[in-house]
Parts: sequence; C-alpha cells; structure tokens
Amino acid sequence: MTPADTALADSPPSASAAPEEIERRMAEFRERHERVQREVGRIIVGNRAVVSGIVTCLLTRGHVLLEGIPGLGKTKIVQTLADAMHLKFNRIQFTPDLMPGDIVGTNVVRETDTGAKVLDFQPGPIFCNLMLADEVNRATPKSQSALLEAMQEKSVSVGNTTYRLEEPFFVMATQNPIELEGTYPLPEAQMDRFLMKLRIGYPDEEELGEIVERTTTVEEPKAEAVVDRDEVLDMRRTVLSVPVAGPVQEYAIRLTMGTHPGSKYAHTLTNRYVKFGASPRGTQALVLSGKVRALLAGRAHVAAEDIRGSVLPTLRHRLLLNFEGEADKVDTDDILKEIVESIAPPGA
Amino acid sequence: MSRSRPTPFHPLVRALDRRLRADRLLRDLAWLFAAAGVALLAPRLAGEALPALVAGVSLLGAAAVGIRYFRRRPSDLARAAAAGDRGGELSDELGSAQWFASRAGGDAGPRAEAEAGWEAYQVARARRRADELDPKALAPVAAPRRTLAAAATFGVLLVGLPLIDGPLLSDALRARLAGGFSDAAAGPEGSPSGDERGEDPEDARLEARSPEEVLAELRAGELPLPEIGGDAEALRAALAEAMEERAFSETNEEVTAALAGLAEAMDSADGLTASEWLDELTEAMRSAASPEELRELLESLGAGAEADAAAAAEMMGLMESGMSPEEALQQLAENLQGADGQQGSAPGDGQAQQMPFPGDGEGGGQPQAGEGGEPAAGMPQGAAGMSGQVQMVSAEGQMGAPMPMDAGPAGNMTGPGGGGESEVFGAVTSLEVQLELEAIPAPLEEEPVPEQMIERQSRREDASVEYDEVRPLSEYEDEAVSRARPIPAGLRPLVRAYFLMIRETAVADDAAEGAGVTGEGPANAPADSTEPLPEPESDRP
Repeated sequence: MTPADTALADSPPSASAAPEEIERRMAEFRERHERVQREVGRIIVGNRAVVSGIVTCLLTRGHVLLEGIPGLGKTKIVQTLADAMHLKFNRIQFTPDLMPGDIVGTNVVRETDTGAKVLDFQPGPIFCNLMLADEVNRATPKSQSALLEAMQEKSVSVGNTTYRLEEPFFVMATQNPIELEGTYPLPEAQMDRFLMKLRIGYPDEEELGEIVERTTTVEEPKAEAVVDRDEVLDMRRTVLSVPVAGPVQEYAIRLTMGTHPGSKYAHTLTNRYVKFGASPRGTQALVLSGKVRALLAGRAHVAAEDIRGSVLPTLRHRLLLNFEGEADKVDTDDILKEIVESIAPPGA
Repeated sequence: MSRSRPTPFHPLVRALDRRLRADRLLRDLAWLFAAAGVALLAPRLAGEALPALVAGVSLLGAAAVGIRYFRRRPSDLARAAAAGDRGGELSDELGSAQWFASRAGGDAGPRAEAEAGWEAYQVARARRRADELDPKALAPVAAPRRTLAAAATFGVLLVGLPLIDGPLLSDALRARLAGGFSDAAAGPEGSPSGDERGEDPEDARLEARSPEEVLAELRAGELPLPEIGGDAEALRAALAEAMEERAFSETNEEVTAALAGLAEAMDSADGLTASEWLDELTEAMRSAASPEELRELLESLGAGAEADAAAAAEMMGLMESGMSPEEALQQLAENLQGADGQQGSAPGDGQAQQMPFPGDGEGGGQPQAGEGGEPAAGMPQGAAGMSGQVQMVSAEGQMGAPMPMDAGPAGNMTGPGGGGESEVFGAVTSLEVQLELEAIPAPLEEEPVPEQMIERQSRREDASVEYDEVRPLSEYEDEAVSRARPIPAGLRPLVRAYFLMIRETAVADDAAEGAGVTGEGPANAPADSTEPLPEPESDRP
C-alpha cells in the first residue's frame, strides 16, 4: 500500500463543496452503482437487493456475511462482484484443518545469496481487496479469529510485525445454515464485525428459468470490470459526506436501544427473548447503510425510511437470543420488525 | 447547539406551524364549547352554587387553550417541518433542512464543519422544494367532528335557553344537586359532623329524615315518640321542619296538606283522623310522588305490617283463651295503651297509636285483607269481622292475613295451617321474615376422621402443580449436546458388531471359568456367524 493510497483512504471528506460539485458526486455515485448492478445482473439472476447490500458494505468500509442453503449462488455472487470491480480478489475455502497461517501468511526461512538464513514473510491470501471466506463456519475458532484484526483494524500482525492491508479491504463470508455437523458457529465478536448479514432465498419460477438458460449453454457469461479501485474509494468518500439530521440519528439510536433488554425503548419481545442486543457498531451500521440508501434514492440527507430499511440486514446478526428464545425458535427478524413498529419515527 | 431562538429555514415552516396551532386550537375548542355550554345550563340546573364552579373551570380551560396556542417552543418548527414531510411525503427533507439550518448558527463542532457544504446544499435544495409546496395541502386544517357538535350544542343552548322560563329541573332535584355540590365543595373535612356541632348523631339523623321516612316510621310503629319529642308539639314541629326541608313544589300541595293534617291529628290524639290523613297522604303520594318515592312509601308501609302481625298474633291468643273478638280487641287496645304509657311518655299522649285501633270498625279506605272484606286465608271465621282493623300491606299491594298462633310457619300460605284449608293469598309476613324462613340451613359441621383428613390432603397435593426445577443454563446446554449426538447411521453396524464381540468374549470367559476348558468355543466363533447370539438389551447403543 503506497502512502498515496493511505492518504486517499484516510482523507476526510471535503470540508465545503459547492452545490454543483455535490450534485456531480451524487450523480456519479448513482451511475457507478448502477453500472455495477447492471454488470452483476448479467451473470446473477435476481438478488438485486443482495448485490446492493454487498456493495453497500463495500462502500461503508464494512464486511458482509451471506447466509443461504447450498446452491443458491452465494459464492457466484461474490465472485461476479469481484470481477465487476476490478479489485484484487482471493478466495479461502474454510475447512476444519485450516490454520491461521494459511490465512494471514507466515514467516519462512530463506537463504540469501551470501548463504545467510533470514526470515521472510510470505503474505497469505488475506492480502487482497476482496476476500471470499467461503463456508467460514467450517474453520476452527482459532482460524476464524485470524480474521478479527484484519476486519476491524485492516491490518495483520505476524510475529512482531504488523502489516497494513490495502484499501479497500472487504471480507465477504458465506455460511450454510444447515448441515451444522462439524461446524463452528462464528463467535459474537466476529459476527459483530460484519456490517450486514444477508440472506439469500430461493429464486422464483421465472428466475429459475433464466438461471437454467444462462448456465446450460456453451459459453457462460463473465462479468467485466466496470469500476476500478479509485472509483470505489471516491464512492466511499461520497457516502461518508452525507449529513444526518439529529432527529434521524436519534431514531437510529432508539432503534438500537430497542434491542437492549431492559432499556426504555425495549420491546416486550426484546425483554423476553433477547439476551444481548446490538452494540454501538449496530448504530454505526444503521447510519452508514442509511447514507448509501439516501444517495441511491437521490437525496443529500438521510431520512428515517433509510434507517428503517437498513434495520434487518444490519441488526439481525447482532441480537443474541436467550435460552427461551432459542427454545421457541424465535427469529431475530421478527423481533426487529416489532421494534421498528413500536418506535415512532422523528416528527410523529 | 443553540435551540433558544430557532428560525425557520423557509416561510413555509412558519406557515405550517401556524396551521398546526390552528388545528390544535380547533380540537381544544371542543372542550371549551362544552364547558361554556355547561356554564349556561348550570344556573337552570342547580341554582347558584354550581355556576361559579363551572365558570371558574371554563375560565381556566380558556386560559390553558390560549397558552397552548400562543406559546412558542424550540421544537415547534421541527414539528411543523416534520408535519410538512408527512403531508407531502418528502422523506424528512424539510425536517432535516430545518435541523441543519437551526444548527448552522450554533457551535456544531468539527463534524458540522466537514459536512457544512452538504448541509447547506440540503437546505438550499429544501428551500427550492418548499417554494413549490402549498401549506394548505401539507397541513390541512379542519374542525373535528366533536368540535362541530360542541359548537352546535352551545349555539342551541345560547338561543334556546332564554326562551325557556323557570328552572329546567324540579326544585327537589335542584336542591339535591345544590346540596350535593355544596357538600362536595365542603369536603369531608369542611363539613362539621354532628359531634363537632355538639349534637347527638341520632338527633341529627332524626332531623335529617324526610316526611316519608317519618310517616314510614309512624306506620311501622318504630317512631319513638318520646325521642322525637315527648309531646305532640315536638312531633308537630318535627313534621313541620321536615316539610320545610322537603320543600315540595306546587304539584305536591296535596302531600303537604296531608302531612299537615296528619300532624294535627296526632297533636289532638285522634287516631281515627290520623288514619284518614294517612290514607289521604298515601293517595296523594301515589298520584303526585315519583315512582321512587312511592316505592319507599310502600316499603315503609310493608314494614309496618310486622308490627300489625305481632298485634294480630296477640289478639288471636286472647280469642283462643275464650274471649269474643270484640273483647279481645278491647283488651288488645288496652294492652297497647298500657305499653305506650310504660314507654315513658306522658300519660294521655299515647293516643298517637302505632296502628289503627281495633274496634272502630272502619278501615278508612285502608287496604283490606283479602278481597271485599272476606276473611283472609288462614284466619279463623271469627276474625272475619276484624278485617280492616288488623291490616297487612304487602309489597305488591295485596293483602295478607294474620294467622293463628298454631297455624304453622308464616309466610307460606300454601302449607297446612291450623285454621283449615290453606289458600294462596300472598305473603303474610315481611320479606325479611320470609327469606329467613326459606333460607337453607347450613349443614352441620362434622368432625372429619383422620383418614379423611389424610385423603383430603393428598387430593390437595394432587391438584397442585409444582414449578419445574430451574437449573443453570449450562446444564440445559450440556443435556442438549448429549442428546443431539446420536451415533451416526454409518457407524451403527460397527458399534453393533463391537458390542456383540464384547458380549461373545464375555460369554466365552464365563464358559471357560465355569467349565474349566479352553479351545473351541463361542469365543472363537466368527463375528459374522449366521446365528448370532441374542443381543442383550443393555448392549444396545
């Protein structure tokens, strides 16, 4: 990662932009996003919301966890998105015997020309822009924890050396909700680091026919790179520039507190079934995701409906159910829907 | 961030704020019209005490409505902008712009500085949008239905009340309303009790009685003449006072006149005249009094029947002792007079009889026992001429009849009575006595034997549901893990073979130990023998 890259990634949003500049950036954002959607849509049938969610996570410096039964195209979506973004992409198939060194890299002994032996760091597959952690819950917690630092700090520590990852660094993990034999559920600390948890469902009849037509011919379409790295970083800056009014931000806070058992905004279902609610990362995810939705809707401000539309993907994996909730097989989505219904939006 | 003096980012927000205030005012006017209407009605309903209270409440309500309308709060503009967003489905555009504009003047910190350009852009964009919006469409002001109804009612009262002369309620109801409100205004602490005024509570109760209650007690023989006043003057004064308190209207002049006549008759110790006045009073009450008052009067007269029944029973006893009916009545009258004299009243004042005197031969329009003066059921033939002198009034106005002493239980006239064949002619006694007789006696409490006590206890235990034992969550999870790990289906034949092998070895060892031989035996049999040994239950995984 060059110093220029670091400066670009860490540069604050422009202090005061002219209205024309703001309008141009908003238009560019929507156009690039639509370009990616269109290119992915050439390969992936349906799942526009999933693709949009993945792009949202990428543009808000977050990571995404995809959940779905086998065969629904989780890996295909991620691979296609990586192809469309012209970013360095690596895939790690998580297995029970995967070691942390297989992910972050390791020091190897190398003999120099003079015959001296030195330790050289061989970077692991995590050194990329887009990393696909396929079936992440099949690796041991030790190996899963190797991702913690990379996901949060965007850096990797090996021995006494810390290596900074190149921006954008984006982890896309998939997991299978069934076949839990021999799997290791992700620790809560790691779950919390995913900005969104997206669920992929079955395609409908029309989409299924389209999938068959596209994938059973001689030539299978392949996505072209339509957005490069600089454009992605520029889109990130645009997202972070969108202002949020105080009442809307308070609404996001109230929604987050609605997941906390015992809080004054807690719903009855929260107090009954939730053991631990969403962390402050949940509120951050709500606001950041709301900013992307606002830009996509052509607004220069975040509305309450943007926050409301982001509740399920950003908070569903941050709720830890208690024993009663597990026994009653309560879905966190149902709890979140009740919370959204019970908390009034600003101005109501 | 300073919110002390918010300024609207666009005149539209101010217009929306005014419309919201107007809408709120229209809703509040419903209560104001209602209070004003009550203030108009109050003088006609409850005299002068209530209007002051209603007027005060109305003024306070008007002041509250005014304060709500004119008070400016920092959040009003934000609320108005939010209402505009809702009305125009603007996705918080106006609300966000108002918030950004209000914080632009304050110290918003570095975050606001970084986003200042975007916020200014948003405010400018919202201004352009606000120019195109109509506040009437965003926040329509409409009078709610309840306000319209209250205003219409108030208008009708305002126009119609001057056309009606006189009070809308009777004097009695007005007096009650006024009394109730004055008592409520005084409160339990404000109204001095009888003890505090230095009066006996019983005296206060006697003074507070209505004329109907006085009459009822007179009729029932419960009126303690010495207590109400040893002489007739006191009685008359009490009746006059009761009448004044009663304050009958003009329609009840007959009742008032009957009361006055009754007082005079009792003053002159004329029982016959008093009885006549009683009859007139009954008729007057029946025609002029309200159904509730009439019901109270009839109940009081029914209560008087108990005393008559006692007198009749005494008369029957005298007749059985060989006296003629006339003699028995005379003796009964003497006994009653003697009883009155023994109660401490002045001699000669006992003429205020508690019941019509026997022997006068005139019912005086009193309800007669039976019909047409026929002897009442259960009554000896000799007592037929006494009908109308010993009188019974049931709650339904039908007449009962006294029974001989040995006529069996009173109240159920269908039962075999000593006076001959029984006939149904209504209740003999009061309702309380009848209920007491018909009450099912409680079963005798039996001493339970110890075995029964044990059985009861065990049944009680069976009926109780105990709570499940609550254990730490980890224990449940441990159990869940142990249950959720069945032997994989692919390994089950192997596990089965393993246990079979163990068993065969154990059998072989046992056989070797028992027979003392080695060599061929079950232990050397192949594992896939076609005749496997029976599998013990305990070995099944």
